[in-house]
Amino acid sequence: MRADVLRNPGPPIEGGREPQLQAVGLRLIKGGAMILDIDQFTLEQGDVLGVIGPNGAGKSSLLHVLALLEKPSSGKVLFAGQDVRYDQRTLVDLRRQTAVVFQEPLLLNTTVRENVAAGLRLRRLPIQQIERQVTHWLGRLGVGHLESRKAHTLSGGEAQRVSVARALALGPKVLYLDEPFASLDAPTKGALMTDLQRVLRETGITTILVTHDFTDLPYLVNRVAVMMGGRIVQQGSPAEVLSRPDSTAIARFVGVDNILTLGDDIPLDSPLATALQENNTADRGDVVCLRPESVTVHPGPLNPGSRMDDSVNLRGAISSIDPQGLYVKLTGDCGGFPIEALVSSWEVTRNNLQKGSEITISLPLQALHVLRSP
Amino acid sequence: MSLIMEGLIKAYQLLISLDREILEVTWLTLRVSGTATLFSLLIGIPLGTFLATVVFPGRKVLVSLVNTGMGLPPVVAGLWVSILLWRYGPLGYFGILYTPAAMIIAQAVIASPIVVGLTMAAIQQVDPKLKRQIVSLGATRWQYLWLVLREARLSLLAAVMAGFGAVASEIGASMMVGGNIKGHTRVLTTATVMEVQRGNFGLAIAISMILMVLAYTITFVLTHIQQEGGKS
Repeated sequence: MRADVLRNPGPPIEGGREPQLQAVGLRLIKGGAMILDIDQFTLEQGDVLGVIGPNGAGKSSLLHVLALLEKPSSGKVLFAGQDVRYDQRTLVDLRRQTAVVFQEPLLLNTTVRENVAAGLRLRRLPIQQIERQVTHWLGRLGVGHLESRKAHTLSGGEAQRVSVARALALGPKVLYLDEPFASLDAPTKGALMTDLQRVLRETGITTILVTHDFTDLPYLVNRVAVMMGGRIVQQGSPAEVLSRPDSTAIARFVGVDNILTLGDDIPLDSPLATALQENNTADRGDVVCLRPESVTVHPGPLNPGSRMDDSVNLRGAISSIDPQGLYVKLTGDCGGFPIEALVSSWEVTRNNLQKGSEITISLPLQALHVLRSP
Repeated sequence: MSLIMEGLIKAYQLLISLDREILEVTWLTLRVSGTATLFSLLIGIPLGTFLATVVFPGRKVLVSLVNTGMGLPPVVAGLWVSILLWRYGPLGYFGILYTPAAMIIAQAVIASPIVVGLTMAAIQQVDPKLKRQIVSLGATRWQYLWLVLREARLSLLAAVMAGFGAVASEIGASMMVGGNIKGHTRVLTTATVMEVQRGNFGLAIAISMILMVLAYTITFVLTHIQQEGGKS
């Protein structure tokens, strides 16, 4: 999963679309604390936006405000270009154009089928249409065989699928997903994500996905907003945010393990420093960011044939080996500073890499991201 | 011991012989307490729902009043209903004191706070996250209340049982506003007291047995519905 983080570009971005959701000067204050402080926010039709950030960053609050489940303290939300008025009739009307899936499935105490039909019944649609849509989406989410089961007899994964089917059956203009995978185990999560990805691509539903796990992003979204302290601190494509974070705080959050200050962490006589200074990409005091997935580890010295011009090669030794599931995090001491690399367990076995093993670490220059010191 | 045996035998005989008088008394008990419970649900569920979902000044005062009312002594309820229905009282015009109608009113007064209180608790126990999900599904105010009440239906059955249990077993109010008139306002509880006073302990035990069986049967049926609803 990790290795794919940078490769999957997500759905293509088209130009010239209408904004589906906008927010201007949004503030949410609770108990004297500023929960949300967002000057400008736009979500275009067909966008699949991932909102990430650490706990307490205001991700869920933003989703609740945008889903019209919470009124902001000040500022306004625009739905399809129209100013949202916070009266009951407008709210019900707009909420009926949206659907929300929360972290918990939150099913009603009735059958699976009735749960998926619930929102459609509230809209007083013709019975046949309800039956058709319910059957379709139960099938799409692979829970058709559970339709007559009571909701509370389902497993967590099944229940969350029903919850997603209930949301999609409403044919929403905007779909809000609030940490929908956070309570699921890895295989269950993976299967649901695959199905959801397919549905989102086929339907083109404008979607907001709140998640604390940055590895979810490349699978589902074409845009990312990073939140910290109630603000949106960076927006861009998943690849941009994951490889070119705007600050060291963002870098740390999105799993950029190598955050090194030139001249401070990296000695100025290191080949890496030389390469960076030669290209004039970085100066003393600048911070160099590099994802551990972008680092290649070779056993022993590099033979001339595999030397690459666009990489900096550093000789060193492994100082620690830290298995992480299917992958292993290696830390190499490269002449005074550590570089972390994420490699497959198979590579570690094949090359017989151990603590103290002599290695060469290749850092592709293109993958290096420099934060200029102010 | 012989007294209990005598009572059991008597109860058996009364039931087997379908004693007309006992059947009438039992039927009246069911009718009065059942109707009173029904009225208390009509008053209590909307009021409990209102108190659980609407915030307004003075709400706490009202909630405390309801909670006090849940323990309202039947005798007190009986006294006030009597005063109101007295021939020269504010509602004396209707002339319903010492009728089953008066008993229904008194018992509804006793059961209503219980139903209000338990309805309030039942609605507040519904997960706030589920309530938010219901809102997000596009529910109007009324649809929201309907779905939340439906989620709370098992707890609401407990309110029905508690309400019926309270009024079927009370005696103070029935005695005061009904008067234990034979063939007219005599119910199982007032009949039991009367037979005890007359020294007919066997008959008293027999009647109390019938009351217990009645209460148990109704509670059993409701519990069955409740548990099935929770399980299947």
